Amino acid sequence: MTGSLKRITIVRRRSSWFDLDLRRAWGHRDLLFLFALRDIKVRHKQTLLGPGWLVLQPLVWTAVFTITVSGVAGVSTANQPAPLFYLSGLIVWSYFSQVIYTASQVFIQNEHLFSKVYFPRIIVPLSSLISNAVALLIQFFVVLAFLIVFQRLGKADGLSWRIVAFPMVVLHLAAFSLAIGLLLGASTAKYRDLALMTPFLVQVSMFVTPVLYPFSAIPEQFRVLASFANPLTTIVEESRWCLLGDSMLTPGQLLASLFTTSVALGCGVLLYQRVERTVMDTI
Amino acid sequence: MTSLKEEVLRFLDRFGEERPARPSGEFYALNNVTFTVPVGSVCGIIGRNGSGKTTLLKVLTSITEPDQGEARLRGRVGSLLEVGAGFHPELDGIENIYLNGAILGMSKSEITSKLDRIIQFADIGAVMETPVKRYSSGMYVRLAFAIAAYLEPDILLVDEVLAVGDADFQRKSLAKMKDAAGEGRTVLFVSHNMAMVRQLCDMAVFLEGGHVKQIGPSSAAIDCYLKASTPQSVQGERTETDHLWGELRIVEPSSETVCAHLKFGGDYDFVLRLGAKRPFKRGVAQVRIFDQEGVLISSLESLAEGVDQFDISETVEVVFNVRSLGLLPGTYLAGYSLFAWGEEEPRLSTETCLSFEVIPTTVNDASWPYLREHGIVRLSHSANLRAPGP
Repeated sequence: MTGSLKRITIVRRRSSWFDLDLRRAWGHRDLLFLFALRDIKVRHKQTLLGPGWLVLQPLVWTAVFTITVSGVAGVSTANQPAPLFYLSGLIVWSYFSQVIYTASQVFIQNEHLFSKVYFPRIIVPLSSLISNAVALLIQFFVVLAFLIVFQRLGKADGLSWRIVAFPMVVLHLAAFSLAIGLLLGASTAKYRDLALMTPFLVQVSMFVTPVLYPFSAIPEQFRVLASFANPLTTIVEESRWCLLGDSMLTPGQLLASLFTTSVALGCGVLLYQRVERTVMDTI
Repeated sequence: MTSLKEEVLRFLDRFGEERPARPSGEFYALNNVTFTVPVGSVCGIIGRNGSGKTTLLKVLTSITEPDQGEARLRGRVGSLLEVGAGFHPELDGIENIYLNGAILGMSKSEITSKLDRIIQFADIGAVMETPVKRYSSGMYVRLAFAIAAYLEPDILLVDEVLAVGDADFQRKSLAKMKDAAGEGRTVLFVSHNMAMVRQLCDMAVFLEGGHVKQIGPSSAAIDCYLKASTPQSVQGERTETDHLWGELRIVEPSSETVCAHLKFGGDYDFVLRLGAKRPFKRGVAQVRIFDQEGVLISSLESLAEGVDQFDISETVEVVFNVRSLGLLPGTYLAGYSLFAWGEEEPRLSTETCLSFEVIPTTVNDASWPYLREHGIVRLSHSANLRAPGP
């Protein structure tokens, strides 16, 4: 009792952009995992297939792309079996799209809760990183199963040591998804029409990212620029490097992608914290 | 001054030098509010709707940031602006205890250690494994309050959430809040219910229009509030919105004369005159009667009294016939609302627009009158003696 009384909370206007109050966020780490757990539990309650949807969705897309993009249009799959090629890109892209959907809606979906109780608002988008990572893990095992099947058929190199680098890919992916999610979430709270932009952005991201075509299809002189402008480009390629081997990725491209990711994440966190301070008065 | 917990808010003048004037249409919900609450005291925050009570709590809980000034809160802060904030209908009781507890600021291990006591306090039986969407509203509230009761912060900010649950549970909750103060916790309690503030609080802050009107011992602040909020006129002042207006008066049915002093047991009509500047469809009227402390005694509902939804083309009077008035002697306040059928928010509303006095009168040729100390309402109609049956 006497010990805790020494802690003084000062409520005042934070005029600085860099007043992040990370200590308070750390104090709520249990909430982070409880929110993630809630999302995982609730997502599949009263559904027919339950977590089966997480497996079915990428499989259906993979089948569709294998038939149309690869089969009919004849787009290269970088000498890899088409299903493996698409799956290894799709799981990355679907994680990105899920996280930014959720994060862009944070203030609108949680308006009632946010107006009644305070906790660091960044907890909510952070928790969606975790709950979607569980979905990603399930899909990762699907890819592994495919990998083993194609290895048996002698059509793929199969598992290699590179797979241990996959968690690093997930970190890069989570950082970039969070960055875009926070930027969208903060701006959507102020300008509602941006909520309409998110689905559009998700669709566009599918085509400007080498999910349906190989990274090598981008002309060599534009690859650094592409990595710089859209970090997801290299993230998909990183994922393919881990799972399938054989990649054109250079350190320069990787650095360009990491640079944009860090800058976007920095801006995202600052803007989000700026908006959360007074947004409940105006939303 | 380590024994003092300070809550200091200082909102500078509207046209302070550092900041430009607010754009038109914006205003300060709180301005120049400064007060200190000592450790271990229970402080009521009272005032009319729109006086800034809730904004004050929102600033203190960090839900919204003040434009100017600061508040210093010593110790862990817990807030209870709503019971069951963040409850998820699909999750079961235990899962929601963890979720809601963590939202309120408890750690997981802390909740685990208090889990049994929370379940016992809620006292809702063997439904902990059931999704809360299948709970009755009473069970829901009890579970939610039980979690809040074990939050045990150094400073607890409460916004009228006690007005939930049955009387028994309310008493239990009040006792829990009193215990909290006894253990050296500080409670800030926003309420309209003066009886509860009087019972619970050592001191009170009376806010009006975003300013502190009175601060001090709760009885003094309450008296100041009651004085300021008791309308002096016997005929309710006309309240107006852009398209609607209304007036409430109490008359004797035979003579139509307006009365301010009503005889206990007498017959009266509560006449609500409503006017519309353009036709208003499907209206539903409600007159509410409060005691002096702001406790709702009774509502008179046009639908429940058998008056169908009505249209107002110009003016209409809704007459509530009150026969053999059962309110015991004392001072009462009345207000009214006009709703459009099916809507939750009234289109026209006053909290209280007139006050009236019920004066003691004997009934049934009795020689003793009922007085204020007998309670608020009379339920019996008559009494008699008889020999017990075989």
